[in-house]
Amino acid sequence: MLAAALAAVAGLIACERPRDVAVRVSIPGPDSVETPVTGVGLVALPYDRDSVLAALEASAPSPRPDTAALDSLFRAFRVPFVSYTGTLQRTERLRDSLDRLRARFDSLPRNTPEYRDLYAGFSQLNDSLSAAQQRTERSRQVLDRARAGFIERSESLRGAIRQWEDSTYRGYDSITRNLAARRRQDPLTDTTGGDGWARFHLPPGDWWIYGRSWDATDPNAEWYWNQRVADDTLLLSSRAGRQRRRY
Amino acid sequence: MIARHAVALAAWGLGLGLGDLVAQQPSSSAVATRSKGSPKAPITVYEMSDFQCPYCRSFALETFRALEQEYVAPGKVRWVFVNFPLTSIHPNAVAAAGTALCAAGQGAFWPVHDLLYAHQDVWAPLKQPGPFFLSLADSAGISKPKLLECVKSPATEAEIRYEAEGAERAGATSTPSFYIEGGLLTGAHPLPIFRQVLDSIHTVKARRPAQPR
Repeated sequence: MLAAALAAVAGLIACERPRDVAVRVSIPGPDSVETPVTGVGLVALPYDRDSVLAALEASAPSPRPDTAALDSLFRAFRVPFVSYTGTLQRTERLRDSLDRLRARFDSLPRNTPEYRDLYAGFSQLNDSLSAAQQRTERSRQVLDRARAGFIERSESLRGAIRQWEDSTYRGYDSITRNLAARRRQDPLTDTTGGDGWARFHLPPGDWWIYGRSWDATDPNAEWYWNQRVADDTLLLSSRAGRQRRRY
Repeated sequence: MIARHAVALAAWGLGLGLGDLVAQQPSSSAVATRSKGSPKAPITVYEMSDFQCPYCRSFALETFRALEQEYVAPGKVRWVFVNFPLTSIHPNAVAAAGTALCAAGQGAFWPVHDLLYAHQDVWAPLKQPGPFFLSLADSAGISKPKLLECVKSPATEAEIRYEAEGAERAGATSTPSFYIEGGLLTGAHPLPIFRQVLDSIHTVKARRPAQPR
């Protein structure tokens, strides 16, 4: 406890060099494999935004509206969504296989046994692709119907939560502006590249890296990170982050 | 409460044993010229500092003076100074460290240490601080030609680099940092914090029979 407290204030009582910090963002894809994410905007903040939000929530005049009904709607909507993205992914894989086969196939003379074998395989794969496309189309229609009902029922519930958040977090901007001014540091930004990495050159003192990324398995959820920089490499993965609802 | 603090301090340990920093020094006599207190003191504190760091200055001129009276003079603590100049933010820190290191060769490390910190605001902004550093020889009562010869020697800069690398290996990333009996304390904490840390370690050590080194 004391060690943590001392570490927290150390930045104010010691000379430090600026640090180069590399941050990598990865999230589970639809196949649950952790994959680097490109184009995620990250912000290095000279304060802990979660503490500010928690303080504002603690002083809110009313508790956060109950989200059970909306959470239940989210869960129900996720079923047709996952079904659609799964069939879409399988269809795309089949199409890729077919394209590769077609490329080999086009380069062969027509009167060879290899051509005939490949043609049989091609024809079978083509039938599978047609069936997969039909399944994708059906699951897309199911998803569209689910979306229509979902939006209608979720909007009023979402409105109540947004209203509470707007009112509760009203002071957030001025508080964080003051915190940054007191530290004489402005937030810094970077965006992850093709390999999922972003880089920061951080002045001395405590910094937190804040970022949000879409959730590939749920359109009403997102991955959220607000990590204190303790090292020169920060891995913002599903283990380090929090999956949270987007109300 | 005090014992719990000792545990907390031990938990900050970086896997380095007591005396690792001494083993890293080129020679024990070099350490002796930059240490204060009895070599038999139960606690050794390695202060990793930068002469151009304002936090090191306030520690040296305020907190350390009290610690010297309360812990070093009575033989409870041996205090060793380790150069850790942060060159990327303090352009004159290496030259200052060189001056102090060379003064140590003439037995005047601590007077020059005090002079450097006391006049930090004068030399820190200078583009060419060399003449100012040489002028300290008169105040410290040491030979100016010998000081000049020593600060010009490539061996001096190599020794400073060696010490800074040792400080980094011990886990220091900022100054001042203190390596105290296996734990790393970072920052110019106020006197009560140092008292708490040193008292807790001293209490634990006083209970145990001395271990052969």
